[in-house]
Amino acid sequence: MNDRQPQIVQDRDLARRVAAGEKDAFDLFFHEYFPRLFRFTLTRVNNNPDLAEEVVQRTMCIVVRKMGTYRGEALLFTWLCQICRNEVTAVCRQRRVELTDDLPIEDHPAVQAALESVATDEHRPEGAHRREEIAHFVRTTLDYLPAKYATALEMKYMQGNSVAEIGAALGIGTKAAESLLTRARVAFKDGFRSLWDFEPGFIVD
Amino acid sequence: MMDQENNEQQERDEEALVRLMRIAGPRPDISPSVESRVYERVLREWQVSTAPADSKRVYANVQRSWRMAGVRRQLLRWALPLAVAASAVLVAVMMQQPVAPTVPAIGTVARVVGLPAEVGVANGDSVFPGATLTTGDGQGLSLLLVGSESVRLGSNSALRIDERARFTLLKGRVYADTGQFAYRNGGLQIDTGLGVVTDVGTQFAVEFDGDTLDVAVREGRVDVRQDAGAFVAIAGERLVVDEAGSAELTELAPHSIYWNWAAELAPTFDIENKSLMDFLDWASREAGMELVFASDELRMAAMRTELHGSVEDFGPIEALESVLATTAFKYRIEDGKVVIER
Repeated sequence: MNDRQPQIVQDRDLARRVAAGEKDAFDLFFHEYFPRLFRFTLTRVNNNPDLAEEVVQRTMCIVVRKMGTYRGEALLFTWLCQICRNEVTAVCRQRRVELTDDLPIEDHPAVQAALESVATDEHRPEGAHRREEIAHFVRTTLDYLPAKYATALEMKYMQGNSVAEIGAALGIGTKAAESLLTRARVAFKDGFRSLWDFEPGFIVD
Repeated sequence: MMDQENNEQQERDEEALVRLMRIAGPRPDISPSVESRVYERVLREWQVSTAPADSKRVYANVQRSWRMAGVRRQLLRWALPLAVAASAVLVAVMMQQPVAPTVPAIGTVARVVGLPAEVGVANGDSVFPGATLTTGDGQGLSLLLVGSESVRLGSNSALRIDERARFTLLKGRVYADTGQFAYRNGGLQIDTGLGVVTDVGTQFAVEFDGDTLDVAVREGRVDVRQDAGAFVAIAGERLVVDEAGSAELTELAPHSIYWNWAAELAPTFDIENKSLMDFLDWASREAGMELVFASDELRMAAMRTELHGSVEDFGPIEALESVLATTAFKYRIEDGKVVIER
């Protein structure tokens, strides 16, 4: 898959291949989306890992069954998240679990729309506030990014790895890693700024 | 001037990114065992949901055979005089053909042991209801049905295809593996002169020599019906019944050497671009053993390891030996289990 293509094009291609029964496409789909979906779910089920596992399993089973119906009108991850929200409700109702958390900010339609555009080249102004919220927003933004982008950013800015080391870990050359990091930075900034646009009260202290 | 501004902006972005990432800290780790469990379940669901794709491949083969048959008919028409009498003869001849092109094939030949000219079929041939497949000394063949079931005919055997999922074993032995796609409709039925054998999602073998009916079950369950009564055999059991209706039940381990003949007829597993996990699943299943990993990390590593090359004509354990020799994985066999370790 060419990761220079728009995300929606990559998603359509991946869905088509998974639906056609290509095992390597299935593996790519699973390893790309499982961690993101699991973290997405965890924050919506009172951080209960057992519930998250059940919800994610149900969600991914539904999605692989319906993969042939995916038309690419929204990103694959957005589609997964939508089904996941329904499954959270269904599983919690069946288990009689009362969810205590408020609706996460990223579930707001305006924020969803903004996060969908994370993979595009739009730019918006930035801001920040409240340490915990920032941490949450950063992690949320990372989870919305393609897995390679998030891994590259974490390796670079949290673990202090060199570009060559990032390339080696992702199985690409140094030049490709540099290019991927550039795109990842742009995508991260856009996603993070989108959250700030929705909740402009916070600042970096 | 512009360059300098851009550089300054980039530096500010970098600083902001470093600060943000440090505030956030690493995202929570997900237990490999959770990932592994979910992967297995979603994979099964996906395999079931895409099973028709296999059928489509088989049907494509069938359609190709039909097209070829159409070309042959056309040539025949041009070669013959256009006289009405001759056409009538041609129609009469075609009506007597054992394989009517309007009947869909039930599958294709996936492997032949022995010379195809002697066995009478070759790899990739479509097979149709009404046909009788026979094998001689040292010969064998396996079929891949449109429902993805594998049916294997041992040496000195004869099997008539009655319908898509119904066969009559006239003599010898047949093995069926129907368990990988457990959501298909109905079981596979094998008629013999001494009773009817029906599976419930399983791997099993049936032997018939005219006097006794011998049914061995490797996985799942099999029902055997006779006029006089009915019997059930489950995984690890071997049931021998005779014409009088007396039955003897003994134990037979799924990894017993009894099953070697069926493993030798297994359709070739194409490892090119497949994951090591897929290959290990296939090899352990064909060997009748449980697949066990020394750790969840190893299981995940097996899922991510892509294979290249070929194990054509290798038995499952031979193939296991050969493939693992090219990786950092090792295996040992212990109590009917294939244990994968570093």
